[in-house]
This record gives sequence, C-alpha cells and structure tokens, in this order.
Amino acid sequence: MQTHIKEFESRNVAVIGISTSTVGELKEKMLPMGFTFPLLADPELTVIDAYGLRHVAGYPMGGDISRPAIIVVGPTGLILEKMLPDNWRVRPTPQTILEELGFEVES
Amino acid sequence: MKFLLKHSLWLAPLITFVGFVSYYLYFARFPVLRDTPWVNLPIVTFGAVLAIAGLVRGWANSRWIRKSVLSIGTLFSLAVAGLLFYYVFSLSYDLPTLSENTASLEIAPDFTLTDANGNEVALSDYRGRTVVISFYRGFW
Repeated sequence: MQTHIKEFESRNVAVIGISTSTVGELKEKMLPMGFTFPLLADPELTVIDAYGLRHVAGYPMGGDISRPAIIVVGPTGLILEKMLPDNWRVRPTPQTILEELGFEVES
Repeated sequence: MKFLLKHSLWLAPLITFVGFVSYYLYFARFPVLRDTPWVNLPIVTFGAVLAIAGLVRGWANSRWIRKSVLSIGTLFSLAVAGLLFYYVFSLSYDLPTLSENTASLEIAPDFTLTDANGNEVALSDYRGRTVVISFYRGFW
C-alpha cells in the first residue's frame, strides 16, 4: 500500500491500516519502515470485532488477530467495497482496489 | 547436470533451503510471485528431486557414513520443499469463514483509535472522502 500511496492520495482517497499491534509495537516496527498513512492500534480488537473480522487463534504463537480485509468506506459513511481474501498470503493489490473503485489504473 | 548430481550431497539441501528462504526474504515482495510462487516452488522442487537423484546414484558405492549424510540431506530437502508447498497450498488458507456480521454491514461502524504517533484518528474525520481501511494481520 505504501508504495502506491500517491495513487490513492491523488484521487482523494485516504488509506488507513488497522491491526492488533499496540501503539508501541507500531512505533517500533512499522514507523521505521516508512509508512506515511495512519496505522491504528486495535489491541483489544474492538474495531476488528465491529467489522466481524476476528480470526480466533490466527496468530501463530497463539492469540486472536484480524483476518486480512480491505473495507472501502464512501464519503457518506456507506461501505462501498468489502474485499476479503480467502488466503492470507494473497492480498488485493493497490491496483485492484483502485480498479474496484472505478478508477483507471496504469498497470 | 553431472556436476549437480556429483555434488548433490550439499547442493540439493542448499538449493532447497535458498528456494525456501528467498520466498520470504525477496520474492514475496512482488505480488505475482507472492500469490503463486512461480520462482520458489520450482526451485524447491528441483532441490528435492536432485536430492533423491543424488541419493539413488550415490547409494550403491557409498560407505555408511556417506549414506547417512546423503539420507539426512535428502530428508532435509524433502522437508523444506514440503514445508513451502504446505504453506502455499494449505496453511495460508487457514481463515475463518466469513462472519455474518461482516457480510451484513452496510454502514461503516465509526471508531476512534490511536495511531503509531499517539494521535487519535476517527473514521468520522474522513467524512466527505473515500477511505480504504486495510485490516492486516500484523507486522510479523
């Protein structure tokens, strides 16, 4: 996502990331990787549950995490797209997301 | 090919191992090669086949010590290759079925969470814009 962030911004589309990582973990592990869009901490899985995305015992060392998902929310708060891969290794590419939103994308 | 077979004792485990770790360290960065490991699956398969071929070739004329090392190397190569196949075709499909909650959502539930810099970010801050929310599994 980060590598294509300009393609989202230039179309006035905001990007945010949510995971079970705590603020401390995000700061330590993710910020050095150069993320410029907000990465939000949901260690209690409050928001992950609100969207029904809890993956019970999904963390290899034990513990619940979010399943991978892309949820696109429109300007009025309506959900425009839900992209839910059935394989956590295969994730929708930024190009796919933009195309789903009806934007033309150079490949 | 003769060279490969002759040195399969150490080449086969090495090739398989490199084929395995290079997926995570390098090739998974490219979506096409991540989604289907076109590079890494052939490499580990080649390593495993080479290990078996080397074992078959070297078995008859070897002393027990070489036989043991050949066997261990072959088992290692098969295990590493098997692990990648298992990961790609089985393990990564380990996801719960889609929850009804997700399926029935039409209006995005609002939320406020803290970002990596300690700032509070609310979904409602983005009213008037389209927002892509990427739920991801974590940094590991």
